[in-house]
Amino acid sequence: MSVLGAIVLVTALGASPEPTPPPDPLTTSPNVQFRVLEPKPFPDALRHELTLQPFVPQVGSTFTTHWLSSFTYTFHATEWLGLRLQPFWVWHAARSRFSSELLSRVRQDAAAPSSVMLQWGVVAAPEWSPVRGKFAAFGGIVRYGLVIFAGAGVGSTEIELKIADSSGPATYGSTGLRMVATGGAGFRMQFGDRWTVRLEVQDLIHWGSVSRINGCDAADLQILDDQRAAGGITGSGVSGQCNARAFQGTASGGYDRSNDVGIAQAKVNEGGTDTLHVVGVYLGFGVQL
Amino acid sequence: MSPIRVLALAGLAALLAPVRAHASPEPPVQPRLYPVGGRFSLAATVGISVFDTLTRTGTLELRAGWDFNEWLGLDASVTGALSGHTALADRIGQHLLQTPPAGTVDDLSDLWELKAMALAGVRLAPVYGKFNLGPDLPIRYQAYLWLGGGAAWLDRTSVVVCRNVTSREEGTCGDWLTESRVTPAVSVALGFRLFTGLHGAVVLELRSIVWKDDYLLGVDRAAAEAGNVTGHPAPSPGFTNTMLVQLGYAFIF
Repeated sequence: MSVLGAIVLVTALGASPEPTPPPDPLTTSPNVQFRVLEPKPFPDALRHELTLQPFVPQVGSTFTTHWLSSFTYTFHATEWLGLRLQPFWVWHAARSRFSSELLSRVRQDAAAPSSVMLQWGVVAAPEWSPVRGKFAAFGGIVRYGLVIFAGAGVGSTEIELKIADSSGPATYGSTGLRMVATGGAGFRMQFGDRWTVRLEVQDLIHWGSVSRINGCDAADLQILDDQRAAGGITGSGVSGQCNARAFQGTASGGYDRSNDVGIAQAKVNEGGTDTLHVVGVYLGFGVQL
Repeated sequence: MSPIRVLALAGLAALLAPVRAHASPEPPVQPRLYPVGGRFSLAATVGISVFDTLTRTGTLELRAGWDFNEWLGLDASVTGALSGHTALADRIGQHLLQTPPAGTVDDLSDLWELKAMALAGVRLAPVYGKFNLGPDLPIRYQAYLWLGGGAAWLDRTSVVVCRNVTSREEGTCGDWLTESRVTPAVSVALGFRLFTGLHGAVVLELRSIVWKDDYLLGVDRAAAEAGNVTGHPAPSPGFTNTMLVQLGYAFIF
């Protein structure tokens, strides 16, 4: 066959109409629904996601208010299930506006167990993505997933001792490590293969009583109070956990920290327990590796 | 540019063009299954307040709406509310009454309780999408931002001004100062319409209602307990924000 003949043959074959496939009888059945399955363009399984939530405000606070930053590492074991590890750091924890109002207007203060604040912590939780979808917005298509998670961890806590006044800023005492339970839900939006944006509501729950402040229990604080009345806190005779140095010296503004002993004593002797919720809105920006 | 370079570039372009076409195919565009543009809707919702400190609220709302197009609508609603003090507010009042009425105190902010409300506003719904609830139940939805305002009918029961102490020891009062007023209110909501069909959708929204606060400063408790008028209005009372979670159903005609 000549070259010209081959070209003519190929052209003729290419131009010939394709045979029409026979109609599928199922299309006319009322019991059959056809669905087009589209593979996920950006699979998650066995990938690592790092998310930074730089400014997390607490919402719905009663006696305390928190601002924190959080970093979340998520290992996506499957497309639907992941494991997240989330350290957080509270960079602003203070008496709430309502609590200040209560103190100044009707001279009532929240009970000590209701005034404990988180300082930092770390929580781990399995994460489930039961719903995935996509939506059209502003001319584009965004893929997203609903995520639900619940887990636990530990957190360091503190309590306000002296309130901020003309003699100086507020002082705080450590109330130790507590177990922290967490639960939350939110949306995870995916932009391309790597970038994610998360908007989640998360509750950090901690509970308990205030039995020690700066490691000192009621008996330790009584010893420190006696030392203070006798001329100065030496720290002798207290239990090994009690950090007497936290009640020595002066705070900024010249405030004598030994004055905190009496306040701490009153809070420890209050008794009672409470369960506290720090509900935050977490807007995070992530990268998937 | 030399002819060889032009040919080389043309060849490179011819090689790359089909590869790019396969790498990022245009996504198929499906028409909206539940268009709302040009349609009228009637909805009923129930709501409860969240993040309660001194007051708690439950609402029943009836809403009429008109969608100009797929992303812009107008709503008008009337709301009735059952509201009252939280246990915390009652405890504050009780503890205060148990202390002797010496000197002056200020009343607390954010104590106005919602009784009824009429609102009108625009609904911006730039997001339309779907998700699968289980393997066989695709849900189409609209996400919207609602902005509007109206009037709120409010009641207030003080936790500071008691005009008849029935028991100092138990901290009980027979006649707390109560007030009522109608005030302008501004409302913002973030919500979803989860379509159940062409003529209906489940409505789920988070709504914020804001009104100007009003309370008394410098209340002489002894004078108040003797039945005298005391205290003066706060010069800068600020605003009260009530957050509601609302759930309901909309009929779309």
